[in-house]
Amino acid sequence: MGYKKLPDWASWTSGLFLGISSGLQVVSFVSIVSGLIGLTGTGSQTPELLVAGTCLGILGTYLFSIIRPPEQLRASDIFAGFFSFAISATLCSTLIFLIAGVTNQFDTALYEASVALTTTALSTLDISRLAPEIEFFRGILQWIGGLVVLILGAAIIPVVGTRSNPSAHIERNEALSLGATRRTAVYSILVIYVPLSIILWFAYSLTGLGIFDGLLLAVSTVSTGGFLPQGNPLANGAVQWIAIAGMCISGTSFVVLWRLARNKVGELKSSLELRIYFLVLISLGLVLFLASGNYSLINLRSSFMVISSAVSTTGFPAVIQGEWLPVFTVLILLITAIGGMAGSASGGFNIRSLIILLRLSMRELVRQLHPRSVVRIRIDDKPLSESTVEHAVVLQFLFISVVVITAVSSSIAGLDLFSAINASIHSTATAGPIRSIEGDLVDPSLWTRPIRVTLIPAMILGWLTIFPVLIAAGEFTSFLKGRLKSFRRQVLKVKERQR
Amino acid sequence: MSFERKKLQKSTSTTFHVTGTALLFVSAAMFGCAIIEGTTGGSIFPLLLASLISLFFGGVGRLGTKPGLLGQADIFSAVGGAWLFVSLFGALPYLFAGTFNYGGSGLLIQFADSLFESISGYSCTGSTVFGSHNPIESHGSGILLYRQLTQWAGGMGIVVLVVTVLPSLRASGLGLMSAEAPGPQSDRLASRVVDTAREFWKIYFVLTLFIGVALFAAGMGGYDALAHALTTASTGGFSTRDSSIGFWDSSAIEMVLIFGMILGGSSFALHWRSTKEHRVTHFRDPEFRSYFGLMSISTFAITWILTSNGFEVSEALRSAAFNVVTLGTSTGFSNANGVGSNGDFASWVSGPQIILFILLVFGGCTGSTSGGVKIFRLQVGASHTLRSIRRFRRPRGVFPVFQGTKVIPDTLVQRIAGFIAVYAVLAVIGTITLTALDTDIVTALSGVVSALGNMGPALGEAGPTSSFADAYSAPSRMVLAFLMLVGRLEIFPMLLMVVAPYRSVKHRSNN
Repeated sequence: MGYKKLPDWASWTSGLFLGISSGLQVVSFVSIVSGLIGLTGTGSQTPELLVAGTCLGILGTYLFSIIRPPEQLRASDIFAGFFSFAISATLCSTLIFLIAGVTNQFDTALYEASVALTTTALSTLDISRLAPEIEFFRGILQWIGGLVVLILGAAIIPVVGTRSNPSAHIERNEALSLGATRRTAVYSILVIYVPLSIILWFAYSLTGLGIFDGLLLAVSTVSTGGFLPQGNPLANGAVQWIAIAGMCISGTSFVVLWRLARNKVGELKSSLELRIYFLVLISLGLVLFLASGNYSLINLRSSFMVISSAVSTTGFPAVIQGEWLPVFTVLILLITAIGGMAGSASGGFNIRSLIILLRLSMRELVRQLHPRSVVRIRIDDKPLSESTVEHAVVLQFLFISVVVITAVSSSIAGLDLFSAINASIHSTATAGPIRSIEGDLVDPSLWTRPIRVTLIPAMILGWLTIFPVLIAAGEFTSFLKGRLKSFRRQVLKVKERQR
Repeated sequence: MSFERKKLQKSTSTTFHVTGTALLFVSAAMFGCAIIEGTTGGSIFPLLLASLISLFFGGVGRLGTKPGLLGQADIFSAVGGAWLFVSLFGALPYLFAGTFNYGGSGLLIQFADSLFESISGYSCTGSTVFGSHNPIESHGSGILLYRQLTQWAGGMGIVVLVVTVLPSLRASGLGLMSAEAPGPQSDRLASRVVDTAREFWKIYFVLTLFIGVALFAAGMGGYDALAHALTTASTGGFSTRDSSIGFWDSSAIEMVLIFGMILGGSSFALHWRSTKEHRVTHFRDPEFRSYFGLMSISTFAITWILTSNGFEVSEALRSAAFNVVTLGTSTGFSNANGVGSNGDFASWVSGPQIILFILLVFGGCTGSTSGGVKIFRLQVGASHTLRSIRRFRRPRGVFPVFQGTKVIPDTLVQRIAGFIAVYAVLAVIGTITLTALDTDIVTALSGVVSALGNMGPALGEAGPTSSFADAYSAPSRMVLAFLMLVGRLEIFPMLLMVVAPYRSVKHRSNN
């Protein structure tokens, strides 16, 4: 029986179960590899990782074998798949953390799994007590989390939903510059993501970091995750410079990196988003350096470290050497909320959406004076379709809604007003670490467990750029409605027969 | 004389005519308050002098010009100009009376404080620089009544008041009213613009009278009842007491005010319709239902949180209901009778504070006297989001944006999206500026949101028992004052008011 003969919900549920089985298989694979890595050392957690990984793998493979994939996937099926992947991967990672004895509390394990997968550097674990295999497991989870963001942001979201709209061809072509189809776009992302991770690993290793620590730091940098290996590798100046460069690259759109890789530099010169991204990085880095009053080279490096960590939403813990002004906290919060370029591994609202919103504001100002004027919003001299503008507006609305709801729930759970706003912005932007008004780094392990639990939905929503979750939820609601309707019809039929 | 030049002169002339007429109203209010000040034993000189100056400039503006039809840019110029000049002249009584001459404050600070109080009054914000260092009660009845009147005039709108006496503005009157009215679209109650403006003022007057009588019956003195009725109907929030409503500590007064504020924060077109149909039609309106529902949910949520933090249920409900309504309607009264008292929301746990902060942003209904983003815009925003999600699922489907059962045109949706974007940009820029001027982040952010939404009190150091003079530096207060004006005119008129003069200058230099 082909896809066309199946009802709508069948393709949706197969998307859902494909996501679940992928989540099981990915975590299983990472768990087994981590277990094997443990064998190079004491391997204290290896048996647990291998057993749990194998069980999850068998379950995932079995599920995959019984799913009948539809001939054609709709946008909602893809989003349902991503959402179910996120949920199953998070729950499986939670299970691994519990089985490996990292923590014995379910909510803490769930929080840690979410923090790792969503690339939010708000971990509560004491890394000095973690076995290398668990460190590796967390690091690779981040790397996968970063890859998911890229695939969603650069290859899936810009393409779906616009096919029927002829005016949206430009953006569609922009996204598809990574490849002619969705599949080749994903392939292009992998072609950049994997070598970039290897180059960073190599670069970190050259600074004197061990191979293992270098690998962990590389996957953390390229995925904008922000986990650090044991010791304090960022104390080394060379490591910091590499981290700065790595974070800047990770916050850059993969379309830009792809064009660079293909030597199409000319097209990049006119990219407004790219110029703004680097302008923000350089100007705010200099502002921090100059306003903090310490004009040493170390402070210059620290200032750029703080800014690149915030803009790319990586969250490496960095502090400047000079005086921390309260306005710095606001600036850091602002650039964290905005994040890096669209189509990058970074979280947040993204610079492209911000440009669209600013252009939209200007257009409304013009329309106040000339109400009947037809003004098209343009970026890089290319007119944007109204659906793209609508997408940016809706993203703004949803982003603010998620921040507000998370802030309310975390403040009810006990966070003070500023910390609640701060934590909710950081969670939704999948960034860390959180700073106090005085610029000190806040330790999330000091928060109560209910507070941490309230941040998990924001992290997952922010990681999946909110839309997939809502679309999956919408699809689920209409599925339930459909089921309920058919049930009612059946009940009515039975009643009529009884009459 | 070329046609272009004639057109320019005519539009400039109308701008001054509108501003001049507005100043005449201001002068009349000052004169009335001077008489009251005189009868209560105070000095009539400051109010009288300010009245004469306003009369002179208002007279010159009105008599030396002729009104006519206005272009879109001129409308913004006229409305922005009128508000700016009214706020400037409105500060004169405070300056002449030395209201803010305390503790050796210099003339510049006195002027800044007078301007702040004037803008806060006319824009119906209700933030004040009075405080324990300069108690409200230490000033005369006349000047305090003038302060209350500024909010009453600003509530319905100075330009709406001007339109009622200028039938010669014809179609431009509607443009002027729309530019001043809160919300993305203004209601039209009668076929003639002048009649619409008069209907609005009639309803406003009756509502004020009704609240005044109810407050008097609830135990307030005659003067205080009148003064508070003026700032309740206008959802302004100025009080004649330092501890605001907390001074009376009366549930009956608070109940009357809650009712009055809810009416002030809902659309005046709904009140008009109810009076015409002789029954309550408010709950038929989807915006009012959401507004009322939001207030109720917030009240119960805060009551629950406060109760679980040691408050008695009755006290928690009273404090929650009053503060939710006062901030949700952008009024800004306080029922706190001291720092840390039950009504002092700045000393509550953070959960209720965040809920109140959200209400600060939301504001009341369109076509009301309240500030904020407005429930209508948020409803449209939510419906727009829902449509976008549906479009993702069904790319070829046609999904209109609804508000209740009404279809909202796409142009209005885009206008609302643009408004929210500009609002967010201003809030961010304001917060950065205030923190750069040494204000802590919570006080800065809530102060900016409060100013943009014309709310009154903020959070942090600018809570209901604090003075803005203590919480913010003089430059920060000027930034807030500017934001209050921008917020009162719903951003665009203040940002675009320079366009028409700029065009005029450009035209002259070209010739």
